[in-house]
Amino acid sequence: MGQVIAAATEHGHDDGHHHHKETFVTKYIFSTDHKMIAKQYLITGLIMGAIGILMSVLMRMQIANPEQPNVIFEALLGKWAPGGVMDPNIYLALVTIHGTIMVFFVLTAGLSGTFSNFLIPLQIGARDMASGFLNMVSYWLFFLSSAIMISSLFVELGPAAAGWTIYPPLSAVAKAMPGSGMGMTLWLVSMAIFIASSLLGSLNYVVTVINMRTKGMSMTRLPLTIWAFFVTAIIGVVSFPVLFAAALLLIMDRSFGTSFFLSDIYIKGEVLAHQGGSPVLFEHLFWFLGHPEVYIVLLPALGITSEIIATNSRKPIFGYRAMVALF
Amino acid sequence: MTAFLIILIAALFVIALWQISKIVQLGKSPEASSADGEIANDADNDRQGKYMLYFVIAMYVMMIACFIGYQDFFLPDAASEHGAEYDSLLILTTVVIMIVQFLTQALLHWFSYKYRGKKGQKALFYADNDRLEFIWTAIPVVVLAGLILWGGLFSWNDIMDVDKHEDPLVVEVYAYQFGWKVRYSGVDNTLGDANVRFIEGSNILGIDPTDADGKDDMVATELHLPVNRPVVFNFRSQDVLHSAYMPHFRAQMNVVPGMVTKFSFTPTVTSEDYKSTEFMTEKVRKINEIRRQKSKELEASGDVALDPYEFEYYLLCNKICGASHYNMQMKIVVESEEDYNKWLETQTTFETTLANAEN
Ligand SMILES: [Cu+2]
Repeated sequence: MGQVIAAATEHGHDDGHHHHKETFVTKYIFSTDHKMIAKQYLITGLIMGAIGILMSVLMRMQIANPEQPNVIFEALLGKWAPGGVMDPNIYLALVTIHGTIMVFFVLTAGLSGTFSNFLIPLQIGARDMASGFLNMVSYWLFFLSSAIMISSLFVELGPAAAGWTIYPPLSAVAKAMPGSGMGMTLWLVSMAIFIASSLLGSLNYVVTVINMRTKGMSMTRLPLTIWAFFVTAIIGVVSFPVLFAAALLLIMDRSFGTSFFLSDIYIKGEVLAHQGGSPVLFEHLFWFLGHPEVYIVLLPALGITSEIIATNSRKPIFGYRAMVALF
Repeated sequence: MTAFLIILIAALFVIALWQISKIVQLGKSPEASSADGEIANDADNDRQGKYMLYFVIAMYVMMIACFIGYQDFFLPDAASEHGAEYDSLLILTTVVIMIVQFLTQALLHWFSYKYRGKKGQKALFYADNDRLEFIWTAIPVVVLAGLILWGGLFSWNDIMDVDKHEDPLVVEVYAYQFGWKVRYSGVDNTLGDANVRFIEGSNILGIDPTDADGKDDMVATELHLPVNRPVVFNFRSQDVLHSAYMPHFRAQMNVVPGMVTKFSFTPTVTSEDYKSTEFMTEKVRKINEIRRQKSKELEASGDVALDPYEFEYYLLCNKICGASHYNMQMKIVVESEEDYNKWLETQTTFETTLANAEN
């Protein structure tokens, strides 16, 4: 008897040693644990959010006292605020990067990345996400794209400044504005990586919800929060690739002389060779993502609030099936 | 002001850090965080329920105060024919939304107050009511469909139809970084062909010199329009996307390089008449009062005083197009037929411009 127990503990010990050898790096940095990845998303999202808020404060300071010198501009913006007066190009850059950060890095990745990762496995009774490794890759791609977006603030001619919708030709022609040079290249690279990250994350959420529910957790018993995350992820998977295509075509127009979005342009005293494209095509491709994006931003919040209010009033959600149908 | 903002940022950072530490705390162990002070009692619930009620009342007071206090900043009456229809649609939509908003918010906050937590009180188990759900889904669907169809779609089709007018004035509005030009189509009321590849010397709009229709075209820097005559605008851009925004006429159209976009409207109020409306004279008086005060300060510190403000219609750029986008505008003058014709006679035709350039 004693022998059996000893053997069992020895075996158990051995087993534990094999699987749970966690170092600082595997636990906190390259973690495949959904809870840790959620926290990583939360902290990165919050830092990006703070940067976005700071930018909107700078914009409002400029609007409150237009073209007036301000020591804070001089200290924070340096050569882009000569004598403390904000350069109009930098105002547009703030508009652009603030919009990009808030819509994509905070409200898409920060929101879904944090809450979907944290709550989906816990609320459906799964051990972890379907693929912990892809989940980790998704976070680190998000981190990389955040780093590139922030680094674009420090290039010589300033970051992208064509608005968060980056409509060509303004974003496509380097001569149209200073931000459409290196700054726009970095914006496109950053967003391409961001979309890859978002797709990996969304696929993981969809697969986890479909395949990893615990016994008895049928789709009609799924918490409303999870329904919201699930539908959000599906919308993301369907619409983000279109933005990816638009970004790719824009890169081609910018760097390889194609004319998807450009035609009949006369700028700084010369006619460009581009002929036959249309900027309206880009608008359509962009808003194929842009419209669903409002649901990507809204649905998780709707799901979370319905459940919090229901729980705290000690009542079941009223009209669960109708809510699911509305999602 | 700036100091305040800095403090605000610092405060936001602190709140963010505090929230993170709280989340970490909550994640640790349930025993540690459920100390006595963390559990809500009846007094807490009573207080929170009242806060909900105060909040919704404060929100309505603020909303009504803003509507009254900021009246001056609303757009004044429309100065175009379709503008009245557009405005009534906007007001109808706003009223419907306000009613729904008032009802739902009031109910949400009132119930939070009425059913605030009390010891021993049990919530009613009530998970479904198909008829109730059907009613509050169907009503918004019908109202929205009505707004979209009768209000929106029909108005849209009517306003966007540029071919509905008899004998309209054809005008080209041309955008570039950073300004506007107008091209009048001359006696034939037909614009000559144009493309940026023809831009050369004094031919700044790229009018095709071989096209006979373009010979009598006239390029101007101000948009003059005769009152009560329909105008069909052809928009063209030379470099990037711009947007021609004429707020007083309730008109806006994208200006796209490589294509011609169109919009039409009929101006109904001359610039002079618009300036002398009660709303506008009062608004201008207020602005000039502020300017006079400011001028006093400026003169005291040795600066130049401000000019008095005078109202004009303007065409503005409404799409980010580069560094001077904020200042990309053109004056619009709506005047009587005679004044318009008089002004038009002072403009030079494209043919004359080309001839002058050769000499
Ligand atoms: Cu413009």
